Amino acid sequence: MNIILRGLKLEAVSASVPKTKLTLEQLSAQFGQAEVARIALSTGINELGIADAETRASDLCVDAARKLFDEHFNSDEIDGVVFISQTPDYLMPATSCIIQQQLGLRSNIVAFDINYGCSGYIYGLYQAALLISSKSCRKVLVCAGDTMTRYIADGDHKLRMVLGDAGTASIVSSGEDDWAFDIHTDGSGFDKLIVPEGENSDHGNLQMDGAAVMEFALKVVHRTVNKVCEMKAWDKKNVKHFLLHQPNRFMLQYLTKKLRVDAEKVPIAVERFGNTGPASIPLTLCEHFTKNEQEPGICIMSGFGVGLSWGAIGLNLKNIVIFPPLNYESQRESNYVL
Amino acid sequence: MNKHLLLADLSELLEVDITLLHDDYKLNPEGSWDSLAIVSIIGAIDQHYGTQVNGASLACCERVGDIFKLALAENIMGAA
Repeated sequence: MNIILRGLKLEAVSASVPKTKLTLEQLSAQFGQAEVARIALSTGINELGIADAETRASDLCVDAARKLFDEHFNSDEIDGVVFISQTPDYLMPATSCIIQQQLGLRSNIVAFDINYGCSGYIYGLYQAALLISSKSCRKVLVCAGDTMTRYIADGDHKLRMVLGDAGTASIVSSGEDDWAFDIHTDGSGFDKLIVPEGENSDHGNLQMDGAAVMEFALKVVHRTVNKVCEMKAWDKKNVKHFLLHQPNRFMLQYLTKKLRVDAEKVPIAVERFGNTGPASIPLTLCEHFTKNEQEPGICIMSGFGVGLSWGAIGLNLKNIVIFPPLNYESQRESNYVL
Repeated sequence: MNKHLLLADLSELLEVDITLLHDDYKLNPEGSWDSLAIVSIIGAIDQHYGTQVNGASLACCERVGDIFKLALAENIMGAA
């Protein structure tokens, strides 16, 4: 599916990461220094934010959204909430309802959840763009966040060293930009990234076929990015940044070569956060551009992963308001144990 | 040329001096020839040989030479 939706603007993005960190030193103590160093060298991940048992994905997204409303925006103007996550607070109700209540948003708004992971931010922006294009909404809050680390099996040190938790909030409004979307789905790979049912109707642990995901990413990411370039009639040389989902450093480096673009155009922000699923693109935006004081400019974002699903969006981030990632501290008792 | 580039990547991944990585070098699935190395080599083969190899096929490789055979076979198949 590809479409250009007109009259849009990504106004602002904020992100929140748990204050509780898992460091290489802590991991070395459990899994051995040599093994941890070997994995960290490839993944480029040195630290991960880990949600404690009481922190939910909505808490992280609400923290990020409060920053937007405290600093710059009027929450009364929000007409819709889209929440993207693989780890909703509850099986029911929709977490977007909890976010509406927590933020004190008006009740005459539309709010719904989308179950997607690493491609989720593209889906969230797509839904927000549709709501605005249809004139249903003037401003939509897109919240993308996961607390995926609680689905990692004990002793699965490779996944433990790669996945982090985070929540983000973005405001999409009517504007003058035209957004090009290219979105794909291939359910034949549904089991390549999966949390199967566990015992006693409880959930199981995350299972990932890393090789299959790598093969998939190498096959599709450059194609979807190129498609968006074609739709926007952009020369890749004139695209200022390529904001890719952040699985790990080595995959990003291979994808950058496959895209045939300069490495400095592809921000990498996994070092402090790891793979944060649907939050990774907006989190990278907040981390990279506030740290380097750069203007994001004309961008292509691409997400890819669970489903399997993938997609890209071409948009102009001129005048976007972004904030450095926040450190979320749970107000509840922390019981986190590695 | 491609072989040398892939060997260089393999040397880094397996933490073995490149001069020791002859075709008969035995890969150790219980050690550094693990899922992480296989994922990385999929990327390296794509980059240096312009072809994609299957992770399961790579996991069956017992020696360094098997990796090159696989990459070349996929390359020829892809070109056919």
